Amino acid sequence: MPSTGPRSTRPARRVPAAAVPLGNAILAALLATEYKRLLPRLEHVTLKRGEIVYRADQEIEAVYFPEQAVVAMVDTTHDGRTVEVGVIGREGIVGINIFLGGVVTPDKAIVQLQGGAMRMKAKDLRKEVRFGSPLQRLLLGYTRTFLAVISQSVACSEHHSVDQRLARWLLTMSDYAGSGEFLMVHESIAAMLGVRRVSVTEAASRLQAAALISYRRGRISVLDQPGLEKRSCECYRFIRRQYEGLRAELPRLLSRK
Amino acid sequence: MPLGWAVCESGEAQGHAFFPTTSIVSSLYVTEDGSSAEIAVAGNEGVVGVAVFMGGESTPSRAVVYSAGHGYRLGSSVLKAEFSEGGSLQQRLLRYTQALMTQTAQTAVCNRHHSVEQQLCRLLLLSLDRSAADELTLSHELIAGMLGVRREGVTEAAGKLRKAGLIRYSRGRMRVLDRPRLEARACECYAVVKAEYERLLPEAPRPAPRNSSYRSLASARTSRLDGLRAFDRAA
Repeated sequence: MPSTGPRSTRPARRVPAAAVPLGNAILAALLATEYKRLLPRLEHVTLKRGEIVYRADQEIEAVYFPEQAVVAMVDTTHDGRTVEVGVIGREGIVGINIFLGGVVTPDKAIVQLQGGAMRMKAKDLRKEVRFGSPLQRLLLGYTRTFLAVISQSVACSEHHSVDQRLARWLLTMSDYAGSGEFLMVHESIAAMLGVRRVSVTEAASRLQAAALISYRRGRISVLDQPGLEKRSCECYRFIRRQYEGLRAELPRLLSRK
Repeated sequence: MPLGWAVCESGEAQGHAFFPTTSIVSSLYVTEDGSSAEIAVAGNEGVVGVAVFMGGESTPSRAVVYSAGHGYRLGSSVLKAEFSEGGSLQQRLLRYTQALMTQTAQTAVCNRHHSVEQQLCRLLLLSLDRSAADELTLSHELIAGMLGVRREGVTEAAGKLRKAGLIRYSRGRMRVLDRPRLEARACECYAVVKAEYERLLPEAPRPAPRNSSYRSLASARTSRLDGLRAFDRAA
């Protein structure tokens, strides 16, 4: 099955045992002893922009704990129309289905921002999430948060305008990229928002005319974050709050009650 | 569990989880300006309140009974304790969560790309699968809130289905007359969700007076289930 990305990605260097898992919040939240135990099962890989990590309805062979990489879960209709249902970055895990007892994913996973991720074989994850284990408790908290994020996507895709949703998408990507600048073409944004490319181009030129962003040959820069936030729907703040809540909660999830 | 009853409100702590038997509950996401969108339906295959066993204090969605009937309720703390024991209940609830996630994601793409009529077909079929009868108590207004469209849009779509002889309705009761043709008219989203539920929860009953998630709870351990009792709230 050469179609899934991981195979084509060079099985990159193994992480030295002393490495501290600063990149991914779930791994970083684990106690050092627990992380050390997982380390032999983790391998560092680079996910390339546009790479398809999972195809819909295909068996999941590995899960990913993104570091700088950002992956979108995308749902597709039979006639090929798409919409993004959730974005996963350093706060989460790609392949939560495995943790929940699934085998395949009904959604496609596409890399939006290139970067590193920790890869773990699905069968290893299944072994590691014995109940009550720290990893299981962290993943439960993440699942709950992600479910809220997906739910919000439903309402957003239904009720909010292309302009609002584009602003939300750009803010989200800009946060993940950290620098306010990232590479992305209109076509892939259109696929994420579930609209036509021309709608994205129009909406983007409105944002550009208002000096909120600049766009040049696939490179997008957020120039005015507060201004862009005003144009965005509430969903941007909602999702950020969810993840902030999760981050604050991680230590509690680990302390046994 | 009476029609229109809010099982839980968004942002509020949930004291109980509910296991519907004959009732059907819709989870809605409400935006700041008050528009709503249905994110999932749950009936006798599932539980309302997955956030409870995943350690959440509250859930951002609102859950409303849209087909009246019965169910069981269980105190959140009991469910949490049972869940943390692991075993078949935990496995079942996690798989249910996965199925729920699929339904929600599919609803997102459906809302985005499919017509009100297709969405209505999907909703009716999902509801029928969770109902022991061919008849559903559903007002157009309720459906409109779930699909996130205006009531007129639902009335129009339902009118078309009625004209085609697929459904019949009067005074809030909707009866499906021709299920195969209704399925043919629905978008693929219904089949996708159904397949995922069957794959993940193969033992889900249909039609059933009992709740299959609750059953795995009852069979798991009975000693700690003092908190569990039939929930039969008077209308």
